[in-house]
Amino acid sequence: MSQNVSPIPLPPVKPNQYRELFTNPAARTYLMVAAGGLLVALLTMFLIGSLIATVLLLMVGLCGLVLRWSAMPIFFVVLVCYFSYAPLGVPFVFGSISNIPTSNFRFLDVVLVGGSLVYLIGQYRLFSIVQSGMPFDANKLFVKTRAKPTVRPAEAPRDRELWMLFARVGIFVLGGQLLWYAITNWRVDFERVPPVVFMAPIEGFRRSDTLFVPDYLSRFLLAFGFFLAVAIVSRFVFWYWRLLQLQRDQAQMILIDTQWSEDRREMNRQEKWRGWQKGKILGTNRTKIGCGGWFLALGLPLILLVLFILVLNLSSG
Amino acid sequence: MLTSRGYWFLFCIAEVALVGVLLAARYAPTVPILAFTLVLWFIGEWIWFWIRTNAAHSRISIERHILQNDRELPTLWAGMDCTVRITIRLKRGFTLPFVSLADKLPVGQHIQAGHRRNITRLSASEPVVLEYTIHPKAPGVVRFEGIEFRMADLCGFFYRRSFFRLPTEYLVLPPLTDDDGTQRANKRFNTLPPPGVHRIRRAGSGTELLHLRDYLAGDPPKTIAWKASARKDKLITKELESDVPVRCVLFLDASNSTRLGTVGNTPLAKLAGIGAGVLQAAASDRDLVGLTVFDETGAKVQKPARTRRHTMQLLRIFAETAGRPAETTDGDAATLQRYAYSLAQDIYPDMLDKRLNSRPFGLFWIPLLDSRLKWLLILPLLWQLFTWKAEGFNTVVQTTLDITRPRSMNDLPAFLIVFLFLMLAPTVLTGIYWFLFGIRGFLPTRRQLLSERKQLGALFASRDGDTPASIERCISDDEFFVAKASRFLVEHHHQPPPKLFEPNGDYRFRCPEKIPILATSLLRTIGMARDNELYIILADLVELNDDIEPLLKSIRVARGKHHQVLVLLPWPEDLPPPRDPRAPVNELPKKNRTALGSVIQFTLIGEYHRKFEALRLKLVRAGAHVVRVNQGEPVRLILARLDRIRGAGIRR
Repeated sequence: MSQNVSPIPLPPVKPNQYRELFTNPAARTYLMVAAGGLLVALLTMFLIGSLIATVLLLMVGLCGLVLRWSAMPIFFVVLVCYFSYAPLGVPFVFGSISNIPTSNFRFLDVVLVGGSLVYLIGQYRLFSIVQSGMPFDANKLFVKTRAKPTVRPAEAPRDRELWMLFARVGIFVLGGQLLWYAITNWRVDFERVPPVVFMAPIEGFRRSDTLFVPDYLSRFLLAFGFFLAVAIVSRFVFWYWRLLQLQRDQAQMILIDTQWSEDRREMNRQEKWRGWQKGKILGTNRTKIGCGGWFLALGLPLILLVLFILVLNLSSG
Repeated sequence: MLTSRGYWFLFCIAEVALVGVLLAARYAPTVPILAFTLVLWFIGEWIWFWIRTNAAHSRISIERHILQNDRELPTLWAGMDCTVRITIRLKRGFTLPFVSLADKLPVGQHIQAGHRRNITRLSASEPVVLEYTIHPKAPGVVRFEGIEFRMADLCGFFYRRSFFRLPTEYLVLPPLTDDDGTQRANKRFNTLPPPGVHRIRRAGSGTELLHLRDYLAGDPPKTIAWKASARKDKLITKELESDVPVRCVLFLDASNSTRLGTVGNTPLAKLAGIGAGVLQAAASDRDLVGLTVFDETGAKVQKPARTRRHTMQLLRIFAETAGRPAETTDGDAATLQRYAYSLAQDIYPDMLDKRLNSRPFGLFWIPLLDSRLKWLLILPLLWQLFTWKAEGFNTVVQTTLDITRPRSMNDLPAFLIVFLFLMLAPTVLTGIYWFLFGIRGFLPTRRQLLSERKQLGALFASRDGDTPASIERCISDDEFFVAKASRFLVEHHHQPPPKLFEPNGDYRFRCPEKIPILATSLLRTIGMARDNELYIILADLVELNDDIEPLLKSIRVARGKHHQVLVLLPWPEDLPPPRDPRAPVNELPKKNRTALGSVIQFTLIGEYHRKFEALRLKLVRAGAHVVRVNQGEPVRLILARLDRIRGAGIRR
């Protein structure tokens, strides 16, 4: 076997072994990455002044990293958002109202978001290494209780993989800030075409009360519109790409299926007649009436009869 | 597709983004910023995953090599390890960081060493090699379907499964036997003649002296024994022995009854293995071997020969015959559907994708007008006609007035409700009935079955090049579907458990049609025979006691022509050997007499033994020798018979 051929697969990693976090090179690497991200997020929350958030996030992070509780990343996101909203942990006791247009590219936000993203990426990649990287193909009913899930092999990640991780953290943190900048500086104005205005003073929008869009709704519409546009464009691109890559048997299947969809009612009628004739020849046609048939044959006339008698009685009375 | 982890994460961050934008942004802009960042990251990872997998999908090349003793071979040999080596290359494009590649193992084969699955990364610079060893035990055909690809992103949010279909079939030839191994333990019967030539004690043109006789006019001068003539003083002619090769013709039963069982463990595979052993042993002595493969429909004849090419051809026929699965076209549609759909999910996941193979909503609706009682729908129509006539309408109005007795406008709603009920009740009831009748098609079990049937129908139509009408026929016609599904399963070497017995208890795989075919083939072979030959019938005949007469006649003809007939009967593995007829009758142990299963098993075993004994008696009386496959070493027995025919053994 030549040098550039992948080695023989390593034995699968045994789950539920805490020692594995340090013996498995891949797990060890991502444990460190996630711990680093968690530390940055904790430090930022501490600087914001939320000590309780620091403690709770530490507990959540440790549960995720050491105990591998799979819900912890979601709890982490929820907790970070909650303590950003209420740093003291008490709801409805807010800090000062933010000046939203100037809330872009604040240092603590960038660090907090970056640290959180690193933690989440590291945590989920760690799950793929020590817990489960791919779902089972079979229905859940047929998966044995002690079946081993597919996990990433215990090889040290390459440098390029880690560099790409930090590169994408930078890109998406920047993207998030830019998106927030865009939707806080653009406004929806249905009196204009196109119905968006950049950096317009809010007073200028009160020309008509019926078409006035509040700030929060404007931000929502812009964000929703952005993600919808991304989804539509992606969908179209991948749809066209899939058509380009279509193989012969797949294309044949599409043609057959389309033709069947168009003609299925007529073909269904033919098949019913064919089945009826076949049953007649073989003498296997049903002679009994099903329960639905009985209802139609007896129930419905009975109801009509009762109604008829009722009507006649009442009218004569 | 999204995994459950991906769904939960997306749901969570979408909620956070919604709350952040609508409520929290005024007090904590960090919330929407974090949420947007996470959503952008998720979408970015999603798009990146699809780009990588889509790009890689059309750029993957797969090579499969089958090696035996480090040599690549077009066919395999049973009983020998063979290595399967698959090289998977990504020609160009993005690296797939987390893929699971697995070769689908041929049915009936087990891995002896190595791995058929590799979880790794796939890049253009690093091909992935899967290598494992299998050990084909029986002759037949092994089919490699292709490679299963499972791809996921590093976080486990996205997952895609595909199957690269590369169907390849390899013949597994019967096991090789050495020249002097089991079959040639002693060579005392053919030491004198050269290999392939054996003496027959009658006059011929051989080299060995048979006897001397007086010269007759017309004898060739070269046959005159001059020394004997000088001694006797009259002309003496020497007569030489006839030198002939021994012929052996094998009759292999390939009917459905011998093809039942798991792949490589069918009676046919065992019979073919024995036949191949006899063939090779006889070929090593340069005896002529012929083969007749027969089943319920006909027979294929290979005339006796002894060339190497002929031997290889017969081995191929043995392998191809042993690889034939049983044809069960009268199976249960639901069972076949279950098997076929799970197999299709494995091998044709792309063809079952709902974007290609749709399941429209209307497919599941049960139309009332297609039922037999659709004419009853005319009743509500008649009622409506009656109510819309003046008298009827007046009656309804009067009835409504009598019921509701309106005093003021406040009673108008009650009046209208009763009026509308009396006017439209039959139509409403019929509408409800129509709805309930049709909606039954969406109940889970029926919906799933219909959906699977439609998808399988489309798959079969696509593979067979049928018209779309065959999809609808698959849905409506069980018989048609069973034929299609059986063919599909057989082609992929999968066999659902067949129904062995008819409702009245009769065995379904008796195949009595094969007896006349076998008898005719035997007679034809006897007609073409030149000298004393050995006929070996490898057939499952135990269930055919009542239909065996034509075969008995043929055997008697063969014996009348001084040929030898040997019948080898397959014997079920889980059945004890037949007892000695003179031995006392076995009884079921007392402790098992209450267990119904034990009683039935005991009865069935006794019945099989009885049938076997009756058949054996008939065949022996006709002059054949009967042997069970698992009785001693059949190959040695057959070779001993051959030796009896040739040389010393046949002296009359």
